[in-house]
Amino acid sequence: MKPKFETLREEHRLVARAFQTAKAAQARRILLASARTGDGKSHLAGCIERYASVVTDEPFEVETLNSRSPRAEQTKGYVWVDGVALLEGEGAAVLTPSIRASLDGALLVARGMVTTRAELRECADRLRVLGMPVLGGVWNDVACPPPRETVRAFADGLRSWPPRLPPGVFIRHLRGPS
Amino acid sequence: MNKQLRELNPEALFHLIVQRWDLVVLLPVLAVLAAGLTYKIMPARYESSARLLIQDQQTVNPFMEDMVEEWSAQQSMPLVESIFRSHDTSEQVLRRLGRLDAAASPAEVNETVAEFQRSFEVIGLGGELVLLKVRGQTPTEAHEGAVALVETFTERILYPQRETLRASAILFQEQLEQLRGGTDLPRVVPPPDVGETQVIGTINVRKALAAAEARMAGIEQEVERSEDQLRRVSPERNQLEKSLASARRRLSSLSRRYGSRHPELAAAKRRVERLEEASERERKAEEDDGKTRAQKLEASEADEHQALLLQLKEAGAEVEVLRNRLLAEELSKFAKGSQVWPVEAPVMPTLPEGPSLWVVVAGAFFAGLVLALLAVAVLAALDDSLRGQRELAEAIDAPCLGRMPRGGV
Repeated sequence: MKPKFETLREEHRLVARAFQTAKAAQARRILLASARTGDGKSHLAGCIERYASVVTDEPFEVETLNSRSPRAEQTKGYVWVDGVALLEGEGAAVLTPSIRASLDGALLVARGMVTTRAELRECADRLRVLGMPVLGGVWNDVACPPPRETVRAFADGLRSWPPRLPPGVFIRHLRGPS
Repeated sequence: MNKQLRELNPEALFHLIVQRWDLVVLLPVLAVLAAGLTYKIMPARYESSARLLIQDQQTVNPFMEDMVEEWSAQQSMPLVESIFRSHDTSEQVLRRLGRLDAAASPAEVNETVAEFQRSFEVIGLGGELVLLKVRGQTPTEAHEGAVALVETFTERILYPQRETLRASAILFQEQLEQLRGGTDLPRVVPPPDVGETQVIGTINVRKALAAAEARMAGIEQEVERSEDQLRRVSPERNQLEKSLASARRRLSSLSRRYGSRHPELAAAKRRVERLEEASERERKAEEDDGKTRAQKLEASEADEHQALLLQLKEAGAEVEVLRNRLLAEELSKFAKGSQVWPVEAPVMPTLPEGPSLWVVVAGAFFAGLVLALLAVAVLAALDDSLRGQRELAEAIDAPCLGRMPRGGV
């Protein structure tokens, strides 16, 4: 027996509402998107993974975005796709037509007091232009650390600074014959 | 452009302040440092204050005395302020204090007077009470300024009635002299000119009179002592004459004891002659010595006596002058016109005016804090970041599903 909605913790209620919204919009595969890296997409995916069994009996799955994602008909229940930062790097260009065809809608995660209204508006507009309905937004209060890859790349950049020339190459070779 | 009001809940407000913690810390610290430096650099100012009761006793109807006095107090305040604020008063004060050179040009005079006028203020405390505040860079400067200003003001406001009073006092004294016979009284010395000399209150005149009388008594005692000394000089001369008479008596007894032809008599006569010669020399020497000493003593004592008599006369004259002045002061109580009573004489300030260093620092800290909060408010008004779930829903034009709380996962 599932607990009453009012007695749930805040994160439980959030997950329950996400499932209700997806059900209402008849969306099976939902993209989790945000404006910037570190806004909390993976955090929301983690929340769904942990608390979904508490608030719903529906089968679900959480997966990361890649071009070989299977079509929704092949899976049962809801699939939450930990998606892209729309205003960073390749952004919305990652959402190829095949991927777009496999997704039924998107949830936009915004970090409170950090993400601007203009950024969020632009993200929603881009998703709508690509034909993906925006099912709702999630307010994230947690300062999410950036992904490990970003931290590692930054640390590598610091470690290799100042940049060195490859072995066997000297400054005089770069200057040319004097 | 979105004209809607921005969302502002307590949590967002807290976030806005925490996000700008550098401003919230830095501005109060800078304000405290600036206030402390300014406090140390700025020269200290001292303030000396005095309270004056200016009574106008021009009563018309004794039954309406209170009302008339109140009315006259209201009417006299502009006069008091105009006297304090007048150029002449300030210039007179500055010249009295020596802060204005006699050879100063009119421009310099005007500048110095204007500066002095800025350094004091006159506040009516209601009724006939006036508070005077004089500021200066040193305690002495403030105190001297206040004293000189009070004196000059008193002279100027009382000048007309003092002139009238002076004439009446002279007339009164002359009539008194006529009543007493006019022979044994000394000549009447008119009261001093108020405009030229320092105005002394009745109490001060009484004190000066008592001091002069005490001095006169002392001089009289000195005169008596010098007369005693003069009397003591004559016995010394009598003693010398007595020693000469005893020598003569001894000579006669010797001549009676021995005959005229005895060898021992001759020897005795020679001895007597020697004794007589010695006695004569001694007598002469004593006489000469005694005469010169007595003459010197007499001369010096006589000179001193004369000087003391002269001082006695001067003291008597001074006593007379002070009695006249006291009479004038007593008369002025009954004269119709203004009275200036120093309720609180100017006091030498010991502490500089203004708040203490700690108050300034605390004020600067709070001012810096308020400034920092204002700066945060301005920056927040320019900031476009999301402040609540309502703004999130408006931005994406879709419902907000909820929030992921801090520390919840």
